Amino acid sequence: MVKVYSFWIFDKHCNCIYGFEYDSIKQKVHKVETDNHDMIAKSKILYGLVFSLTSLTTRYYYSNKITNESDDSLFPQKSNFRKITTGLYTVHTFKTETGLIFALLADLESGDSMDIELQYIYRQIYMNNVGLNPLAPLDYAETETEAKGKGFRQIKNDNFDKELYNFLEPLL
Amino acid sequence: MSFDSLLIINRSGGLIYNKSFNACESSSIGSNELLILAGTLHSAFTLTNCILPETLVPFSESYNGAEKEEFDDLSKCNNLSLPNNCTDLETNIKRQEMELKYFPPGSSAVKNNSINEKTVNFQSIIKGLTFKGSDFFHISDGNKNIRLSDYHQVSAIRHIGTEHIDIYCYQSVTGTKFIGIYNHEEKMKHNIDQVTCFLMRVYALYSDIVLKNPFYSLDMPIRNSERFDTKIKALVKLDTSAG
Repeated sequence: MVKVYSFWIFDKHCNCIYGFEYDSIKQKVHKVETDNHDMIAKSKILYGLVFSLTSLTTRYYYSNKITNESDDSLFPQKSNFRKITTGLYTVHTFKTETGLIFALLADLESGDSMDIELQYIYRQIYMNNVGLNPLAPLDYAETETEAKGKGFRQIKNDNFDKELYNFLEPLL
Repeated sequence: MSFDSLLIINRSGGLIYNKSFNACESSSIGSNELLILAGTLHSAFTLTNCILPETLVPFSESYNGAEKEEFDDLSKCNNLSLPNNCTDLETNIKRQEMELKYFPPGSSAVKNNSINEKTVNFQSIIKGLTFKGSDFFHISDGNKNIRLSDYHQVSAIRHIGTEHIDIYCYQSVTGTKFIGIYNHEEKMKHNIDQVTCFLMRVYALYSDIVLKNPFYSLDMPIRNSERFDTKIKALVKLDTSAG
């Protein structure tokens, strides 16, 4: 049985737009909110980790390979990073083409990849409730100043919450 | 998956040894880039501890000293107040003493050399070292239960997987990190424990050849150590499909 510890969504402006974490008794949920500094700090660290490891592996891979294709700035070459395993837990990530990053912290039994679950969350739950929702903002950073990791807006959508919990709860 | 390169990073994040096993030398990565890579990996090790889910915090290694007592206290509290949690906690404590499966040297090679041949090859690698024994670190109790001796690095990164490459790490107790980078050119699955075994063998060679050299100063780059180079090469040859 896979155990999920926490779930995060980051947008293209390096902001954490959604995140929650269960505590050990599985009763209280810590969510990323404006006044919850612990979770905000954690989200920033997680984003930094994912970001730096992606750039690291990309740089390593492409400097080792002779590429004849010209570097296209519209579709930059990348070596998307999938997961980190430590002795205690595994971080699975899934990147969409629009720059969203979905990250899932699960235990070691989660196996090789949880791509299917993350894609389902993106395709079904995120798209139906947030992406296709006319009331949801197109961009969670509304001004220039919020664009560089300083944003504070989060997804506040009860349906999204509910469906996500329903999907992840059997896995908790 | 074929073996790409081997890095050794010292406890303060400096790159002290790198060896590329890639065929094309011309396209290999610059040394500056590698230094940056080593530093980034080193900091990533620290960061993984910071994003520990709260559930797992008591099992983190940063609690080293008071760990044992804390566990005792916790289980006592739980016995008194919340009997349901007790089982939860116990499973977690069990998980903390991680057990790795043991893989004999050369087990990941594609070529089906006979086991004898592999053992002979491995014996020739460890010949002339101060180490005496069949393999560096495994304990066998009885016939079937072969397990690794002392592997308890619970909070270190063990594997970073991307679309094109796989990075496996092993951190020794002193903080030296051994990093093996594999690419996906050959379709071959590597077990995470298998690679850890391989990196532990590299660690054994490092401590046996490099650290016992009286002219080597700690945490400095490993240079002019031909003996280490050849042994590493032989080990890699034995343990990867290149053999």
